[in-house]
Parts: sequence; C-alpha cells; structure tokens
Amino acid sequence: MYERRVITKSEFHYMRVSLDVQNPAKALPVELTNVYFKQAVTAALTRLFGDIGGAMVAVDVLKYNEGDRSAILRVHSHNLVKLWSALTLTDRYMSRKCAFRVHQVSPYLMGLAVNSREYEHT
Amino acid sequence: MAAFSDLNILHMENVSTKEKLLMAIKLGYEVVAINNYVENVLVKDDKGKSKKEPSKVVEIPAPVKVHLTERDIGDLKVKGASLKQLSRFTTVLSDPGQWRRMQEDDIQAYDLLAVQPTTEKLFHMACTAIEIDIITFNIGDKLTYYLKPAPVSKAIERGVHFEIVYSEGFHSSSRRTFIANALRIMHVTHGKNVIISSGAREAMDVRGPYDVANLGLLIGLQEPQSKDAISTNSRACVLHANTRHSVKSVISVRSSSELKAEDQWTVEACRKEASEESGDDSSESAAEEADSSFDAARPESKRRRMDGV
Amino acid sequence: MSTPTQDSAVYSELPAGVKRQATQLKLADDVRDGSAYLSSFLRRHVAPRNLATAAAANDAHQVVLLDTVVPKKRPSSLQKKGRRQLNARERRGVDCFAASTARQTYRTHVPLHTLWRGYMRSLLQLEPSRALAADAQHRLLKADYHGCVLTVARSRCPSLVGVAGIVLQETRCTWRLVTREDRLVTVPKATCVFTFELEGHVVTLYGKHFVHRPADRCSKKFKSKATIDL
Repeated sequence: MYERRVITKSEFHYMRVSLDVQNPAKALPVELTNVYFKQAVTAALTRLFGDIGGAMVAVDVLKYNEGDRSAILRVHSHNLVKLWSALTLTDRYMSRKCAFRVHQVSPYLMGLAVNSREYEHT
Repeated sequence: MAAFSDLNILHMENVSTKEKLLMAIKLGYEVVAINNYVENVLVKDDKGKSKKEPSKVVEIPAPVKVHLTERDIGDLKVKGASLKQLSRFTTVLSDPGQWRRMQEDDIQAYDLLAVQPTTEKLFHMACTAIEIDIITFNIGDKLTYYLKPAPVSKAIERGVHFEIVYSEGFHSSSRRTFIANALRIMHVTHGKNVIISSGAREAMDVRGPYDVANLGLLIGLQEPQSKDAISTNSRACVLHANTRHSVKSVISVRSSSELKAEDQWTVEACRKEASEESGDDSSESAAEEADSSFDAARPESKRRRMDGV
Repeated sequence: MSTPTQDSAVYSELPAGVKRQATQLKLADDVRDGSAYLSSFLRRHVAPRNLATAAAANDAHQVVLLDTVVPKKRPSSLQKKGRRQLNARERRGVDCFAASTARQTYRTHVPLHTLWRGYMRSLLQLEPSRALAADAQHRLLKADYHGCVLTVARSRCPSLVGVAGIVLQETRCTWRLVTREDRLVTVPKATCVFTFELEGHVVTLYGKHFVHRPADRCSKKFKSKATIDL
C-alpha cells in the first residue's frame, strides 16, 4: 500500500464541472444562471452532509458559462472530497434527471488551462 | 493500471442498453458488464415452497451483447482502446436450492455470476462454498444480517468480490443506508476485493471513473484502493470468472476455430510441426523451408493449414 | 607344559564324594587333578600360535587377550543386492540432468514429437469436430508433455513471450525446450502461460498452477485456484 504525499500544498482546489441534463434540447423550467448553478451546488452539499455539514463547505463559482452549463469552482483543499462526492451523488435538478460531470481538478488554477498529458511543448 | 470498468449496467426491457453503453464509452470506461437481473431462478408454487418442475422452469434470458459501430466506439479508438462487453447474471439468493439451478448451462453461459444473499447462512454459503464471482447487496435497504470477518476473508482468498452499487446513493430516502452499508462493507473487507459499479437503470445514472473513485474515498477507502475498486479489482473479478471455465484453473481447452486472429501465432509452432509431419517425411527440404525464430506478434507470418482444420 | 602344583589356589580338586563315584560317572582320569583337563581345554580353544603364551600366562596367573575381538559385520541389504542407488551428490556429479547443448538439435527430437502426438491421440480420444470430453480434459492435467511443442503465449518476462520448442525435460519449476534454432531454453513455469494445439483444440496451460514434478502430477489432486492471472 502506498501513500501519496504532496509537498507543495495549495490552500484551494479548482474544479471544472458541467451540469449534464437529460434531454438537453428540452428547456428547463427555470434557466440555469450562475446564481441557480451555485444554488444547485450548495443544495447538493446540504443533501449529502446536512445543513451544518453543507454550510461548512465553502464553495465559490469563479466562472460560469451559461451556454454549456459549465463552471470553475473553488474549494478549500480539505473539503475537496466532500464537494466532489456531493456533486457525484446528485441526480436531479428541479425534477429533471441530471449529472454533474467533473472534467478537471487541480490545486492550481493554471492547471485547468491545459491537459498535461496532451500538451506538446514546442 | 487496468482499464476502468463498470460491472453492473442493468439490462431492462423498456430502456435502451445501447444508450447506457454509449454514455459509459463517453465517460471513459473500457470494460462493461451488462447485467441480467432475475429475482428468483426457482418457481414458487401456491404454498410458498420453492419447487422446480420441468413445466414451470423460469426462463433465463440469453446473455445480451449490444452491437456497436466503429463510430460509437470512436472515443475509445482514439486512445487505442476498445469496449469489452461482458455478460453478467445476478439473482437473489434466498434458498440453498437455487445454487443447483444456477449450475445449469443457461446460467453458466454468462461471463460473470453474482448473487445477493438474504440471510447470514446464505451469505456464508456464498462466501465459502459456491462458485460465483460477485456478492452484491441491496445496499439501499438495511442489511438484515451481520457481515462476519471469517467468511469474508475466505471469500477474498477464493477471489470472490463484493460490490457496492452507487446509484442507490442518489435517492435521499436510501442515501443514509447506502453510506452506512458501504462503510460496513469497507470495514469488514479492509478495502480488498471491493468493486464499485453503477447499477445504471438509465444512461444518466452512470458517473465518470474518477468521480466513482472519489466516492471510494468518501466511504473510507485509501486513494490507491479506491482507484483499484473500479479498475484492478474488476479485472481480477473477470479473471476469476475465466478461471471458472477452465479445468481446475490449470488448463483451458477451446476449439481452434474460436482462436482470434491476433492469437494465431501462439499455435504457429505446433501447426508447422503438424504440417511437416503430415507432409513428405522422407525429404529433407521440409527442414530447409522452416522459418526462423518466432516473434511475439507476427500476424503476417506464413501459416500452413493443418489437415482437416 | 608344566603341571600346576597340587596346592595351586586357582584349581581346586573335585569334591571327595564325586571322586568316589568317578567310575560310575565315567569321568576321565585326568579330570581328577585338573591339569590334564586344562591342557586339553587350551588345545581345544586357543589357536596353536598362542598356545605357548597361554600356558605361560596360566603359570604366571596373568590374563592375556589371545585373540582380538572383531565386531560382527551387519549384513547390508544394499550390499546383498550387488548394486545401489546413487545419492543426490553423486547424481549431480554424474550430470544426468544437464542436457549438453552441443548434442541437442531440433530435428533429432521431431520423432519424439510424433510419438507424443500419437500418445495424446490415444489418451484423449481426440476428434477435431467435437469438443473435448470432460474426463479427457482432466487427463490433460496428468499427461506427460515430453515431446510437446509448447509456445509461451504470455509471460511476466517479455523476452520469454514467443519462445517455442519441443519439451525435452520437465522439472518441478521449469520446462526445457529445444527451439528450431537448436537452442536449449529453460523456461520457468510460474511466470508463463503456454499454448499448444492438438487436432483442432487449443490447450492453454497456466504455468502458475502447474509447478509440480511430472511424477507428482500423476497423483496430485488439483484444486481450483482463485485466479489464472500471471
């Protein structure tokens, strides 16, 4: 069994997520603006961890793209697992079947700019 | 690291299984098992006792295989991978007699066998005695029996895996029980031989592999263990299932016609010898014609057909 | 030989009552005084070369060991047989397990392979069209593989993959094959998966569970293992 030790610790972790809804062509009852997106995220946390547990996880939506319903979230590193699992276990938004897709996670915001596996240094 | 696997994609009559597979491909899974769930393999008569009669035998559906085009698996092809489809059969183990029914050919034709025990005695039987691959639970409901360490460690020794189905964690009514049961399973197995799968009824129920690995962290698995739960352990489970089809896990025999094109080189040496034997023995020219060394992958090498094959 | 004196402490005369009955008991004359008896005793039991020493010792009242005691030889059963088995050290010295590279060629062992095919055909009752019977499959576990053309299909060691040849020797942990290039290769069983083909059936041997001496394999009861992973 091995253990990962991270030497340069960042205070925050940044995630690029998007909300994938069933039948995307069909309009949602209320259009998902950045406020509603943040509300969806905090509701997911409250549903899983309760009122206090959810309130203890401070999440910031740094950027939100209404077109593809994607956002960049920021959370304290010790809360990353909680936020990620709350997003994973969410399956509904306003009675519509949905799923949060986490595309990238990085301790540094610049890390979200490029995928190191596909990056080609020229 | 082994490929990401989802070993529980439910096959249901009214929902398209292909959609679920396409979602799995999009999210990065390379191995999926399409699960046929039959609650009771024996037919109960009016008095409530299980009885198997030739006329009342429960029809077991044949293993499902979804046809996917090249375009469908395009995302995987880019990575140099391809989707491996397996068939899985799950049933609720509520009676010891069900095991005898499970040994028949129609159920044994499935790649993976899974049971969901309902009592402690049947759980013990599943762990220690019967030849199955996965033990699953109704993880959204309260477990009616204790998970004892002794049969669990015997199961781990035998190569049987324990499944946690995460789609039960979606509904708020079952979420608490889901986490409690998942914690119990994790505690008694110490993270060994645990597989996490979707149990997807709809395409939207499938989550990406890294999301699922994070769920493993939530229920107390270590980071490498949680990643193993969706890759290495699933691969070990599939290998255990293959072992069932071998002779005492030492030898497996197949017909030559079942051998895939990329595996033909493995019997190249034998065939060469057989053809030389059946050819002209007296002449020395056969020896001079012989190819040189055998490389690992030589699909383009000359292959002489065996007589009668 | 001088006679002992009448009043010698060593020899006492026969009791008077026995002496009176001498004729009835048919005792010889010389028994009465013992000296004649002694000389005849010595003549009977002592080797001629030691007779003088014995008599002298007797006069001097000394104890002399006249013959060395040779411990009796235990008859060895092996010696009785006239031949014996070599012990392990001797066997290693004789080098009967080493196959000399110079002498092994692929072509010389092809007849062995032909022999093996015939043996397998009769052992398993093979038919290309039909699947192998269950008991025939079990017989494969105990079969002799000397002469089989094995190919290493998969291995933990990448350089072993693709190695193929006729089996010359099977030991507990390895197989010795002679390849087409007349190279003698020792392949460990535990890390490899082997394949061979026989009359339309492809047999895969998972070496990890085959780590037994061929002699032991005949009597061994195989149990299903957890996995066939390398």
